[in-house]
Amino acid sequence: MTSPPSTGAAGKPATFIPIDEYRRPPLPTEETFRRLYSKILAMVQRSKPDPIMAEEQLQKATLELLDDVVAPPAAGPVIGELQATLGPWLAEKKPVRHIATIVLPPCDENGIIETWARRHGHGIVEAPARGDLLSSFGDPVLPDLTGEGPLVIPRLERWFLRHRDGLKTVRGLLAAIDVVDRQVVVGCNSWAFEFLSMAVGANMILPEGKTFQAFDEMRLYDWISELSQAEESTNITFRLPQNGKNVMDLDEDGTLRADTFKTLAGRSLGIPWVAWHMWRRSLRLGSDPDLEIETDADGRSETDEQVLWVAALDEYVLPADRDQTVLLVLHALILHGGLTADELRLVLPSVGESNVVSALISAGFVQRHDTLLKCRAAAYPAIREGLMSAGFPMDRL
Amino acid sequence: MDGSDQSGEQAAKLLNDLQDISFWQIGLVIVTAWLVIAGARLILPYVADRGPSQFRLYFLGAVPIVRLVVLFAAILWIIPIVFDITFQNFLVIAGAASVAIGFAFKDYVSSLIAGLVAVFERPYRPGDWVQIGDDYGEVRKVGMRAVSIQTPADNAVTIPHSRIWTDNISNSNDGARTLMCIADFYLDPRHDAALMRSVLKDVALTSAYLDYARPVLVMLSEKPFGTHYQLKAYPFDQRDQFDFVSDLTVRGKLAIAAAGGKESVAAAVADMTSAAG
Repeated sequence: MTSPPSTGAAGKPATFIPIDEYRRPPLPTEETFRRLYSKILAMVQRSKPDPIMAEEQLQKATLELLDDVVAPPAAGPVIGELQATLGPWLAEKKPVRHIATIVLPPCDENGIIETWARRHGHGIVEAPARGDLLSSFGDPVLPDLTGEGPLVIPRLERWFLRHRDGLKTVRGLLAAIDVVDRQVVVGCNSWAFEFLSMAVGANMILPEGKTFQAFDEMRLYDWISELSQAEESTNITFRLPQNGKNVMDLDEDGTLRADTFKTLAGRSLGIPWVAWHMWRRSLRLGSDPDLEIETDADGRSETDEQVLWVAALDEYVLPADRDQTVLLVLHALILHGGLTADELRLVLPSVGESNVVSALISAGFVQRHDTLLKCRAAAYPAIREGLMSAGFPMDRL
Repeated sequence: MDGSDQSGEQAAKLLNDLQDISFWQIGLVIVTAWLVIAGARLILPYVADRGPSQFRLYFLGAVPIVRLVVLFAAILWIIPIVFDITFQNFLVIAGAASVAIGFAFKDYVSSLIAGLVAVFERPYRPGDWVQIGDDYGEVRKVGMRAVSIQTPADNAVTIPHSRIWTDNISNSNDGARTLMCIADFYLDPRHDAALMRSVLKDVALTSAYLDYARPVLVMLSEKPFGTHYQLKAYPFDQRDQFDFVSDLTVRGKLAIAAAGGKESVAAAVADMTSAAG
């Protein structure tokens, strides 16, 4: 098995690109038609399709094993690439612009920019509590941005609330960033960046956003194969249940024999943390009596390799008929990078009580972290497609 | 005697011989045309409502075009089967039709011709929000003779196309997916107008229904009884217009109160009275 060429030149990590140059990886043709057929079917069926696959299937691979072969964090090589992008700029004594904008897709649970900033010892400006953003008509309370060394604002989406009184703090922050005499790295999720550009003219102060290069088939393969080889005690192979093919096998020209990673790249929109979650959810333990490769109850074959079966990727399907409340909730959660139930009520035009959030949690689109509600990374492509189909204002990634 | 024989001979020549007219072929053309039109009327609006929002108006707008093309093709197919088409026969048919239309079907044919014009000029298309006379609503169907609109009160109103000869057609979105919505506020004039404009603008900017690509405007004008604010913005989907205006109004009232503004009932009543007058 030969190693394919890395996206970065000569072993160096790839650097970030302007967000307008982000190209989502294409799906394999067969997968494209299969999904088109599913959509048409969903459109003509009167009954609503089951939103996600059966939950019991998700338990087949144990968490310990998953952590061995697809270890967290789900950030992939992005942190290294971020340093490769910002390192030279931070080293400049008199940069042309003192602000750098990093725009990332939503559902980043690892805090990539924050992790990078801590790793390199940069100052971090934490966002205030959301409750403090609604400061009525007084001046917003802003942190002191003066000082030495680079300053990092990892999540600009935490600095506002889409509420008639929730924009003052972010306006004040942007104005302060504009005049501060030190280098500032501003991180923002792609949906919030579009909103803030429209609502408070963030794009006038912040320079053009940069983002990672989309994780296509080979980038995903490089990363995931590296993750699975990190645990030396286990010799894992990933096989397709249909034919027993090893999805990591390469042809002589270095291309992958199976379409698994191409499908994963297309379905995950080239976002590594989405692909990471999808990949983990697709792995299964155990043997299938119809397959040629015989494995024992622990998934070990005669050649003492542990086999994980790569099942079809989860299908998250939003109802085909227009359910505005569901989409408004999902849009608000994506836009803010997570909200509590009380904050959600503040930003939605809801009338009366609603059980939508509970339904979305049950269907797997939303998860609860303590009191914070967030969209699941694995469901993000389906949510994005649903919002786009309904005509919501979109991000650019 | 010679004259009546001649006209009888002409009439006989106008139509093909009965045994030469293929009635099953005519029937087949009519049934096929009807099936295609009915199918288009059924399927295209269905797909428009359940498919991607960005294609909705294209699907809806295709219905009258499909109907027109199919009808035209069916008529062109049937005419040579029934009639012996020569220049003289054409003049005879046209003359007879003119008399019939002139005396009996003037209004009906006027609507049919206006319907033809409406397909090409497109003063309204399915999915558009139009005001014709006193009726405002979404165009649901553009038929051969009339247009059907559905009002916000869920009434179906049928309006003959011939109204386009005499009435102004006010089209709110003109084929676009969005349209301008206006929320009105009437305030006691003793307030900080600059603050109020800024507050109302934030109300629109933070609406969940807002179309980011369109501008948000706050206009004000002084009336004898107070200050009239108009908050103008676009929802990302025209079907949300009433929810959008309600959202702007509810949150606008809260924002005005929080900013120290006081709504003026007298100004609102005066403005409504002048509008009605």
